[in-house]
Amino acid sequence: MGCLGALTLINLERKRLQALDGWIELIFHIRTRIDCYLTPIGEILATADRELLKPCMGTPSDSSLEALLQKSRFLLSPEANRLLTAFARELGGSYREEQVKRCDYYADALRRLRDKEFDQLPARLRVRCALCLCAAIGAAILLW
Amino acid sequence: MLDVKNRRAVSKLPPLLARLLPLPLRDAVDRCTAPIAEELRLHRDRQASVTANGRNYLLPVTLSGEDLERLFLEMCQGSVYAHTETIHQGFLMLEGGIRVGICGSAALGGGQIIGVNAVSGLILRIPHPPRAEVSRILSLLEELDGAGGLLIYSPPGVGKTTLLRSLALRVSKGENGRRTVVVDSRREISPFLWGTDLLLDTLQGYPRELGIEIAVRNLSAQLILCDEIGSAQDAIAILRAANCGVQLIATAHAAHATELLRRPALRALHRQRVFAAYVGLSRGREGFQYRIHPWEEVDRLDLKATGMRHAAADGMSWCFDADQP
Repeated sequence: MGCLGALTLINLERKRLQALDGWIELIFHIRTRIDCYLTPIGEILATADRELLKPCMGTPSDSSLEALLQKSRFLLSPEANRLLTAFARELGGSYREEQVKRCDYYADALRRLRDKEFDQLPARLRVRCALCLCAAIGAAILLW
Repeated sequence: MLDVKNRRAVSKLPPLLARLLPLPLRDAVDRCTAPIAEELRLHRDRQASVTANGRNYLLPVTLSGEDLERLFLEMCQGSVYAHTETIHQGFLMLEGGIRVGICGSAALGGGQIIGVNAVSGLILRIPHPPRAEVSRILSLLEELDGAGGLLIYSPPGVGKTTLLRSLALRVSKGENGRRTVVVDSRREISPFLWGTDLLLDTLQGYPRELGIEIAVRNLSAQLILCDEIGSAQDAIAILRAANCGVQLIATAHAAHATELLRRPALRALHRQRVFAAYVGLSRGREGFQYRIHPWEEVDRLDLKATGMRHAAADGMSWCFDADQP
């Protein structure tokens, strides 16, 4: 059981990083569509490749970034959530140059966050695995 | 307005606006005594108003700056940047040909508008199905038989665009219809141009001069319709089209025929006899009223007016400018 718990937590951490990577790619996709085609945000999401939205737990039926963010919120850290909420709020409210700069800013901020979480990942995984194993051993002792 | 058959109130507003506008405003428009809503004017911290048949009706609803900003963002489908081109020209086009004039604080860069902030007013022009009585204009076109076009003029808000729609539908209808191209730069004319038996093509969003050139070179147009001409580029493209034997029906803003010719581009077209007649448009109780001026009449009026302007300028009792043909 302890191993199962540890494996689940390892999987969750990986998905967390994948979600963050997915959002960074999505922001770049949005940036390109705005910069080159001035595509409205609803249309960008509706025509996005499913594989692009999958890491963010989204589908092309999600008509807004807020709706998409709701689905992947549980996977993301509080800092990532904060950045993406701000991005979703600011997207669409101004003109191309500003929108492109905002996309660059938030993609950069998320990339730095992602790098930090990646660096901390081994230590976090060790702690979580140790905790799971200890909990399993403790439970086994109690039951026995 | 009550739809007796379905026993429910029918909104004066098109479905898109009925969905976008706040409920108090929608109700106020529907309860208003105006027969229809041609224009809806929304101003920050002032009463909204409806215009119908040239008359204004104040509504008991006031929108705040935040309400207007929110409405503006919704009209842009949450993507202001997607409408940059038209916003920089002061308007937004919604589905169904609804034109929204934008008032606000312009941000300038290099002498050009690069953005509009702090929206303070939205003026919604609501198109209506073409029901204009156009038989007089059609008879005039038949009389002209391709020898010169028509320029329809009136002050803003009288119905030039509605008239153009009606004309487009009638002249292009059926096998005996004319191959008609509508150069719809602001995407206002195209709504309601429905019909499977129309010899009609529309160029939506094309700059006028480019659209006219494409219509002549690539679309074999016999008749071109375009709205609100007046620039030098328009005049050059129109002249080229006329020299290729293509007839034109265009519109321009003016209260009187001679006012048209104060604009250099339209004066140049007049001198080349591009338009065989000028049609003044006004609205009466029974619909559109037309004042038709043949080219010769407008030319005479223009000479007289030019002479009077020079007399006023020079302070002399009467004077002809020798350089004017």
